[in-house]
Order: sequence, then C-alpha cells, then structure tokens
Amino acid sequence: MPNLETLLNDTLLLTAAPDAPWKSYGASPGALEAAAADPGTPGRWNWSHDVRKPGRVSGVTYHLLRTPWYVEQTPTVLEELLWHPIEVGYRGLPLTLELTKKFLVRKYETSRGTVAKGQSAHWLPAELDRSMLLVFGFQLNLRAKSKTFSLEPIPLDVMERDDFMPRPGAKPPKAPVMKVTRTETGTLQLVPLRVLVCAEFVCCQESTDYVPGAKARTSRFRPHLMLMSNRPLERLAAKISIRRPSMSTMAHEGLPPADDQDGMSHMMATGMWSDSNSPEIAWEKIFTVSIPPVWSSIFSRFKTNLPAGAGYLMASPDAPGGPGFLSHRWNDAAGRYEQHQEELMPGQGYFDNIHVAPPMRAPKTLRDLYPDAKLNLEEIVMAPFCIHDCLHQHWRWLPAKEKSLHGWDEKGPYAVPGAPHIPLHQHLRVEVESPHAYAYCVRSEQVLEPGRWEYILHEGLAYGISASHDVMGKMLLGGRALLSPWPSEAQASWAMFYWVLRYSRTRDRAVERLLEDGAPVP
Amino acid sequence: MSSLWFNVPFLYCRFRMLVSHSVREKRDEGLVSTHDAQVVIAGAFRLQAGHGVQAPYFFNDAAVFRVQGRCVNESVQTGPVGRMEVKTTMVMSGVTTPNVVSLSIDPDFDHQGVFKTGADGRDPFVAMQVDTVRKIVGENLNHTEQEHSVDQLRIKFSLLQWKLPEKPGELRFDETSGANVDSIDGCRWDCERPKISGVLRLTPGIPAFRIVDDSVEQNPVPNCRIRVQGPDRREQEFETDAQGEVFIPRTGDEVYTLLGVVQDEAPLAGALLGEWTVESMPDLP
Repeated sequence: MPNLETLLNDTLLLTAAPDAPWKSYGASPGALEAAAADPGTPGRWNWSHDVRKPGRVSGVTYHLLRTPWYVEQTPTVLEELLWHPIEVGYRGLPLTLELTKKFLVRKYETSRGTVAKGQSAHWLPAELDRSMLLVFGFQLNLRAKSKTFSLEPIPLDVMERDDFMPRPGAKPPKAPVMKVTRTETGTLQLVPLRVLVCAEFVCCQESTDYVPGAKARTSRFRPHLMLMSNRPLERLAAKISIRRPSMSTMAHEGLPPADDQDGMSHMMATGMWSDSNSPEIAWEKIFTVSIPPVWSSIFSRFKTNLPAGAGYLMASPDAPGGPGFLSHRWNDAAGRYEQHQEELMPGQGYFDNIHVAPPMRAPKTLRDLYPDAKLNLEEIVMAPFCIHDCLHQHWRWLPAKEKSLHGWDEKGPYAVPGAPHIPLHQHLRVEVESPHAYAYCVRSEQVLEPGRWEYILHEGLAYGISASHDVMGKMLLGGRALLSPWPSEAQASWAMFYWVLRYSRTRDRAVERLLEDGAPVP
Repeated sequence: MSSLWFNVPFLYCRFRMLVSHSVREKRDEGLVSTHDAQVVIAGAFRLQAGHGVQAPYFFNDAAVFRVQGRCVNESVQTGPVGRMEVKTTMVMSGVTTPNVVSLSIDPDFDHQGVFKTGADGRDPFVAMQVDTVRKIVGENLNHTEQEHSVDQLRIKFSLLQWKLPEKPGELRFDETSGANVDSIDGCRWDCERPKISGVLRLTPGIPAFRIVDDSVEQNPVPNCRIRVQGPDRREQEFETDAQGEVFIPRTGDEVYTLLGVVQDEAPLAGALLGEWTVESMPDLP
C-alpha cells in the first residue's frame, strides 16, 4: 500500500523531475525545509506564488521570442489563477477542502524536467519549464465535539506510512478480536477520513502536440488538481478560475512582412467553439492552398464575445451522443443557409473549447473604404489559429489521429478519438466571469473509489506561440482566393484572412459562414 | 512535613515524548547539512507507592516504552573537483529495556516533584539500526561506501521542579510543567526540545480500553461510545473520558471484549477501525 512519496510519483512534476526539491509546511511546525526548493534558472514562464495564499498563482507571463508577426516580449498570460475550495461529500457530511497554508504539506519547484515518450499513461511527453507542485492533506478531526465535524491537517508521520492510502479496490481490513483481561489495556486506533490534494502548476516548453497535424506551436500549462481519499467520497465539486488581464499587454511593433496595417483591439474577448465531428473534416486537408479552414467546414457551433454570466455544460456522462443540434451553414451559390444535424460524440456538451484573446482589426485603408458597411471590420476574431496572445483550452477535439488529442475512457486519458478530455463521470461546466476570465467547474455524483486519483482539469491549457511559417503561408494563400473580391490590401492582411474564414461577403454586408449560436435564422 | 500524597497507594501513568523537527543549515562555503528527526516514545505503566519517611515516592522498576521513528542526518560538501555526500539513517522500532520510572515529591519545598526515567546512571534503551552511505562524485572518481551497525537509543527523561498540588488529584504534564533537559541520541545538542505530554491518575486500576487516532502521537478520542461485552456476555455501552480511556472495575480473571465503536454520528461516523494492541501491566508485588 502506498505512502506519500509513492503517491506523489504519479504527479506530472515528479514524473518529469523525480528529484525535484521541496519545502515542508504545515503539520510539523518544527519542519523548516527538507531540501532547497529552488526554481533554478528562469525559463520562458514566470509567475508569483505566495504560500500564505497557496490557492492562487498570479502574474503569469511568457517570454516570446521574435517572430515575423511580433517583436520579442513578455506578455501577461494570466492575471491570476485560483483553485477554489473543493467540496466533497462523505457519509452525508459536506466537507470543504480549503487550499490554505494550514493544510499545505509540501511545495515542490523545478525549472526543468522531462516526460519521455511512453513513460506515463497519464502525462504526454513534455519538457518542463518553471513548474510547481503543492501537496495538501486533510483529515476529519475525530476529537471534534459530538455531532460536529471539522478538518485538520494530516499528521506527517501518517503520510510516511505504507498504509497511508489503500490500493484501489482493496477491501478494508477486518476488525480484529478485541479482548482484554484484568491486567491488560487494549488500545484501538481509529483511522479518520483522509483526503490528499495535489495542485500542480506545470509549465511546458513549446511543442506542437496541442493541435491536430502539429500545425501550430503552443506552450502548454497544466494547473490541474489531483485528489485521493482513503474512504469512498460520495460527490465532488471543484472550481478553477482562469483570469486574463482585461487588456492584452502584447505589443505588435515591428515589421510584419505581410501587412503592417493590421490592427489589434487590445481589449480581451472570450469565444467558444465546437469542432465538427464530420469524418470529411480532417485537419490535414485544411492546410492547402485551395481549401482554407473556413468556420462552416471545421466548426459545428460557436459563440464570440461571451458576456459575464454565460455558462454552458461542456461535457457530461448524461450526454448520450448521436444526432444532435442543428447548425446553419451558408451556401454561397444558393445565397441561403442550409440546415445540418450535427453528430455528437458520447459525453460531448455544448462547446469544445474556449479562447481568450484580443481580436484583430482590418487595415485602416479598408475600414476607411467601408465606413458605413456592416462588414464587422473593427473586431475580427482569430480562429482556428491565433497569431497573437491567445489562451486556449480544449476539453474535446474532433476525432483526430493523434493520441494526444484523444479523450478519456474508463481507464484514463488519450484513449478515445473525439471523446471529452475529462474523466467519464465528471460533469464540466464553464462559466464566463468577465470578458477576459472564466471558471472551470467540475462536479461528480459518482462514488469516488478510495486509493484512486481523481483528476480535475487534466487536459490543461495552452498559450499560443505561432504557426510554422510554412503553415501560415499556406493558410494565407488559401485565404487569398476568397479575398479576391476585396481590394489588394485585404489579400495581404492577417486580419482579413481571419475575417474571410468566418464571413462571406454579400455586397456591403458580412454573412456568417456558420450561423452563430443563438442568432436568428434568416 | 506531612503530605496527603502519602495516602496514595498507586498512580497510573501514561507518557508520550515526541521528537519532530527538520533543520537545514549552510555551514561553510559549499557545505549543506540537514537533520530530520521523527521519533515517538510512549509508555503506560503503574507507579506503586514506596514512600520514604520524609517524602512521598512512587516507582516502577520495570517500566517499558514503545519507540518508533527515525533520524536522518545528511551532509553534502560541494567543491571545485566534486561532491561528497554522507547520509546516516537511524531507524528505531521496538520496546525499551525495562527500567525505573519514578516520581518523588518534596513536601518541604513547595511540593515540588521530580519525575524521571532511569536510576544510578542506567537509562532505558532500544536498539537502533544505523545505516551510513558515503558517496564521492568527481570528474575522476565515483565511489560509494555503505556501512551498517546496531546502536542504542537511550531514552532520558526528567521533569524537575514540577510544582504539584498539595491535594492529590489527576496530574497532567507537558514540557512546560517543569524544567527538563531531555534529548535523544541521534539529535544534536541544539535541536528543538522534544514535546512531552502525559497524565498521572490516582487509580489503582488501569484502563480496560483506550480509543486513539492512528497518528504516531495516538491522540485520544474523547466522548467516543464503545460497545463492550462483559464476562456475563452482557453488552454495555461506555464512553471514553478526556484521555480516550474507559475504566471498568475489574477484580478477577474475567475477560472484556470490545465489540465496536458506535459510529452513528459525526465525527466518528465512517472512521475505520485500525490497529489493535494490548499492553500488559502485571500486578505489582
């Protein structure tokens, strides 16, 4: 049966950096530090973390190197990330696990580490940048007054024992025969409910495994929670807030080779999309000169400029899959929308991903040319790729070839093409807190088995870096054909490229290629 | 001077010493040392009156302590040509040699007591497994040595200048109750003092049952209702006291069976029954 050390080997940080140093906190006030927790050489990622408020990471930045589209700089990726208290149910008791210093046991930090290919079933191959692991321990206080309950930190010595947590599926040991004679004292130990929580903030170096076909470079970061208990938990609810700054801090100075007149609206905006599950839509087909990735061909549903308060069920074991909602795609030739019934995957919810990024603006010459037209040139949303300052989170992808984009089966992640990237029994709801922030909310009503890790936000997020020059070139060429009715400035504009992926132009009016969710059908 | 403590024939004692600290030091340029100690020492025994003419005195000639824990000392010296690491792990688990535990009270001096282990320079001890690993890592040299030995961990405890009440009653104590100069082998002289805790009760008997949590500190679980079957096979319910103990007047050779813990409400609902141990305290002569 595992002790703390053994269990922590399952975390991403210690899979990648098994010798990462740590500091000890909490239950043993005498414990200062067991080793130097040294984040080491600063990498591309940086952030602030204060153990007095361990459930918060703030000022997350990423050091971008120069590309043809922007100069070298360090934009703010997140203003803050909050791990809210986790709610669990145990024998009818509602327990709130607050990630506070009182319950903090250890903090690991590292600036490097490697997950090799095939090393782990739960973690993708990765090179770590600056990363952190926080370990919290909670137990029911058996000494609380009758009919009351409270939580206390797990004593350190308990966590060192080999029976700290049971093996998954193990039955509780049988009660012993407990007899004493006159000269004997019998001592019975009671084992309280214990919950171990790991909060990781693991940042990865750039890779191409976040999108199909390795078409773009992103840096993943994985602020997930892992939770394990020694007794069955009846329910679970967890919430993680992901908050970008209200204004992008990115600068676009420099000499973009394609168009030095593209603008950027620095105000952040949030959009959500669903991938089309249609087998004809393979991402390798969309990076051709002749077929650009227009929204009606790769998405089934979307909504942009989401306001605070908007919320959707994004994945659920109650979602059966099969014939789903109706989408409306624009038929240029017919000049009208056509209705399609979208085929859904089991567990699939309302949207598949969220992007928080500042929109683009068309070149000034074009905006001046059509000052009164309803062409939406002032605010152009980037999708399916972003060339600047975009935070992505995908909890489901279209059925793709790459295992890294497959979802969970009952055993674990990266197993089923097109399935949600969260454990099968979890319901995921995403709620927009503001135009630049959202909350990732998970709940489970299924009994959680003792000794088995429960993962929350296992899929992680990514910060967009760039697409390869080759890919971008092909995309832009593909878009040029569609922009032929426009003045020549449009054909060299990235903003207009994104515009044409979303819109078709009918005289001086923009027509959505895929009708936005909730829009009236004309 | 007279003292009401002369009238007390027995004391029942439960004692616990906890050593728990981690220290990391950068001593010199390139030298980092860490010391980590997690040891618990626990005992339960009766003290019998052996009063002198002038002073009440209680003792047990064969008290034993259960000891469990480890100390780890590690030093890493890094220099221009390489690195040397020395790691010594001391693991102790077992029962100490029987030895004296005593409480003496001085009624002429403000009823101050001295509560201590050992006598005549002899201390209780338990075997300690000592493993040392020395590693030298350099450009031209990689060498590892391992060494194993068995040593003794001595349990020294003395609580001096402990001011006791004139009227006998239950006595609780901790490291602040008096002066104490305790340490354990394996710790440094300047390490954090151990935490001690315990109780002396004026009871001729010993508790039949104790209900505690499963930490090394074995924190008592008070107000815990238990179901007990007596020698007449009748089932009775008892509730633990503040020390997690249940006293049942016992006289003969009868056997009492703990059937279970009543777990119908918080905070005990759902707690697992863990380890069961029996301490034997033979009748004092």
